[in-house]
Amino acid sequence: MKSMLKNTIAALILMMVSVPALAGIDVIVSAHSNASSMSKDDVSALYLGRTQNLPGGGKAKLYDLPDGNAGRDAFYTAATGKSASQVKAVWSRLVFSGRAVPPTEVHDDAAMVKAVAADPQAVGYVASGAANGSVKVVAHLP
Amino acid sequence: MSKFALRPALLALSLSAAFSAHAADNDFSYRFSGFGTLGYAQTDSNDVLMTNGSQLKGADKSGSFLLDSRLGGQLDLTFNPRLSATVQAIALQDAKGKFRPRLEWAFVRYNLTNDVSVRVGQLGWPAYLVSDFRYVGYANNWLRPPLEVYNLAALDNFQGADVDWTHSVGSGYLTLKVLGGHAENDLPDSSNHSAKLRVNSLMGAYATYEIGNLRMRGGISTGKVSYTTQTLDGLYAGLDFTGFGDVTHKLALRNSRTNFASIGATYDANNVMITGEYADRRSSSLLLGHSHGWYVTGGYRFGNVMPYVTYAGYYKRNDSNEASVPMVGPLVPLSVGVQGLVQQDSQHDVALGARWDLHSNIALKAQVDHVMPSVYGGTFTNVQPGYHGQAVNVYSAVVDFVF
Repeated sequence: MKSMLKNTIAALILMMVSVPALAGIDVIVSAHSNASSMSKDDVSALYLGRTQNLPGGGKAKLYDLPDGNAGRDAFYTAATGKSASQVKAVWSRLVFSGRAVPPTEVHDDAAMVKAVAADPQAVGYVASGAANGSVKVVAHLP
Repeated sequence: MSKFALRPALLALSLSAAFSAHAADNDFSYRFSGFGTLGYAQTDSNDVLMTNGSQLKGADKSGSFLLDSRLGGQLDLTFNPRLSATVQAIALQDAKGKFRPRLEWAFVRYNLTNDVSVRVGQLGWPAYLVSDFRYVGYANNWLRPPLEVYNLAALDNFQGADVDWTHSVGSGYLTLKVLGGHAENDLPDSSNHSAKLRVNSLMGAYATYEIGNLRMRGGISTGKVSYTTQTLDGLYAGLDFTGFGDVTHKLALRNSRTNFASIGATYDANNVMITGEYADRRSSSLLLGHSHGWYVTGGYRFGNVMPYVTYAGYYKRNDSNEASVPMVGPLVPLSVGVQGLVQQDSQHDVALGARWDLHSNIALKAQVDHVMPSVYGGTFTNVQPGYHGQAVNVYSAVVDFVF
């Protein structure tokens, strides 16, 4: 019993360590987008509202997972190094200074792929592996 | 809200409605956002009154909910990638001591290119680092922006236009803004008829540079400022009547050239937050004279809790050698009145506080200020006779939210 518990804990720790390392996050644009690749700084600048210009031309239309979603928190930590509440404060500054409207929320990765595929100006993110041929992966965040 | 101020707002709205007729339906979107603060403040002194900005009522030993409490709403209309409109209203305590809504912004924005945008209507005056979101408690780390700096310019918005140019420079983003217009604001007045501040020929230029976790901005505005209030008009009449018209001329804000310069920076990384700002106000009128204020705030995040400390200062130059009335016989009241307006004033403040991010859109904050004003009361109002500049402690707590 004791050793089983130990094994379970060991397995859990292994999972916690290995899962994020295996998974990561893919930043995606439509297959018809002019953007071909983005640096982490490009992604961070867009999602912290510092620029609205899409690399490759035009104005970016951002998509986000819902508030409190683990994938969203992981994305912001990986792309910007900021916590969910810090990002919320950043966007409240942008919104209430009339400078930008926040990203459009979609409820999961499948909806994200669908929304991004439909708009050449769209940018979104999904767990690695969730993208399909309708979108291009322009950045990978570990 | 005067008709005068409403007109550009209505123009902006009707302009946006006219443009919208041409916008493709699938491009149109709108978004409503709200923010608010429920706040309480109390001090340990009945000698002076603590207010936050252009307010009549405030806190002393009997606390007040009217300093920091407010409720705001904003509607953003996006007609197409080039054209959008924004309207924001905030309810807070005004210059007459009433808690009621006022129109903060109403503007149309047109993106000429990806880098250049033009706004027309009633716009926020970007005098400070946090001007655009001064009243959005959630967006700020402190409980309230330090009054030593944020009380220097009693103006939040103007009617006119501005142009923004944003460009990537190095690995950061540079935004240059120029603005022009005019402004009007009610200020509290002891006579209970609120005073009026008017700025004509307002022009300004501001630069912001954001790189990584660092944001720096600075700039200058200039305008011709007029200030009318029954209390001062009485004093001026007395001065003119007794042959001291030159003193009135030096004191009165009557289309007086006034410059306001400010520079500030914020570094907000994972755990460390440092921000500081300096502002300087110079006017040809000795009533405003030459003042400056500054603050430095440092904070450190422990998970969802961020304690912070602020040190702030304010100084107004002594102009009593420039304008004075002899302290003799019937002139004594005039002499005292003038002296009170041109004396040196100053204040220092050490504040300790903490922000706790309770939920993804709710923050709790508590702050204790140890304020050391001059005998003239610094940023406090209603200074009672016999006050000798004793330190005042201010205890405040707020709940900030956005929705």
